[in-house]
Order: sequence, then structure tokens, then C-alpha cells
Amino acid sequence: MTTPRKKGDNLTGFRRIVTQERVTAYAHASGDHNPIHLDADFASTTRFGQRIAHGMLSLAFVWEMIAANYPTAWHRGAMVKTRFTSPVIPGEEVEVSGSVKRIRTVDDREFAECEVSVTRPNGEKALSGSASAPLD
Amino acid sequence: MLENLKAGQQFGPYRIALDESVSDAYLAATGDGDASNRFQDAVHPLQLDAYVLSQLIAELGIVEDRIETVHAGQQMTVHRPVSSGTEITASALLKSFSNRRGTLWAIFETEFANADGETVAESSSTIIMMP
Repeated sequence: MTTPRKKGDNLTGFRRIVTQERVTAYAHASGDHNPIHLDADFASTTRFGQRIAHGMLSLAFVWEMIAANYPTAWHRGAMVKTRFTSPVIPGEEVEVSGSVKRIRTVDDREFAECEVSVTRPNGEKALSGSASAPLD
Repeated sequence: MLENLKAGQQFGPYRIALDESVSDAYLAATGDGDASNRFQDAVHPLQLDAYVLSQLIAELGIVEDRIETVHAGQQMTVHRPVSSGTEITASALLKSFSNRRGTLWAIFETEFANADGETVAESSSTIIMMP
């Protein structure tokens, strides 16, 4: 995978199906057992009317993309800043994508500043925001 | 508990040590099949963050009282990798708290430190609660 290092470069993204099994496994692995993710009866009483995936699961997809595109230095200064704008419903396949908006130099280190998103099948952004990864 | 929240309130410290099997379970759940190449023996930073946030949410009684909650935003910066099994201490601060027509908005800032006191990561979480 070529490291995206100039403005306009696209990050190598991916698609992933968010099954209820994945959501349940994520709840156990993260410790987040909020019933809105797990309990169909409770979830039916919420504004969403059904179970929704954890926002942090979508963010994990973004982190996976950043770590894959910038594998050598993500752990020394990578940053993500995102808003969860629409819930992912179990069963949906989401698209994880990003592109470089600019290169910034801080203390003699170059960072790729990227726009990132997770998009639902209906075109709505489940997550949108920015990420920054060192280019060391 | 929620009615007593005030900006400036501290939470924790939370002590966490995620062993390899717990890390593997997280990566399997997210579907990150190539993670072993990239993360080597490091814990996924978002797993640390998710663990602390889950403890914080539980401490507020949100899960037990089945309060509808929406995670509206998240920020995280990683400074150093954390190896599996390494104990991390996380301290959280309720940075801001407001009641907008009965809907509660909270921003928690969390700092993660290793045994030497070095900050390994920082995060900020925006949570909306509808009691």
C-alpha cells in the first residue's frame, strides 16, 4: 500500500458489514453493554426504534484505515476527531474512506491531515471528521 | 447521579491492563484481520478509550437505569504505543455539562498514563443523555 502523502491523495479504504453478531462481540470486547446496542425491546422504545451499532465501532474502522495507510508511525502522534452523525443499523454495509486535505509540519514532523468518513448504504454519513497521521 | 453532575468533576482513576486475548477479541470484533501486522503487541488505543468510557458510563448509572444515551463525538490522540498487559491509569474530567430542555450534554476529557506517569494518549467524548 502506498502511503498517501500529498494533498488530494485518497486513503485506501474498505467496506465492512456491521452484523448484530459483530455489535454483540464489540460490546463484550469494549465493555459497552448499553442496551441500545443489544436489547431489541429496549431499543424499540428509543428514538431510533431499533438496535444501533456503537459509534466507537465505526471509529475503530477509521482507526484501522489510518493504521493501514500510515503503518510505521500511527502510534506516535496520530489523532482522530469525529462526530457520529447517523447510527449504523446492524445488517448494513458501510464504506470507510478518507483523503489527504493538507500536509502540516509541527516541530519538524510532517503530518498528513485527512478528511475521514464512514458512509451508510443510504448515503448518510455515520461518522465524519478529521484524522492526522505522522509521515515519519 | 446525573442531576448531581457538575463541570470540573473528576472520575477515576481507572486502572486497566488489557492482555493479549482481550486485545485479540477486540480486533476480531471490529474485523481488523491484518491488525497483527500493524499493532504487533500494542493494544488498540480505542479499546483503552472504550473501556474507560464504558466504566464511566456505568458509574453514572446510565446502563443500570437504562437511560437513552447517544455518543455524539469522539477525539483521540495517541502519543505512545501501549503493550498488551501493561497497566494504564486513566483519569477523566467532566469538561462541560449542560441541560438543554431536559437533554443532558456532557464532554469528558480523559488522560491515559503509563506506570512512569507519561501520557500515552488523550481523548474527549461528547455524550448526550435523555433521562
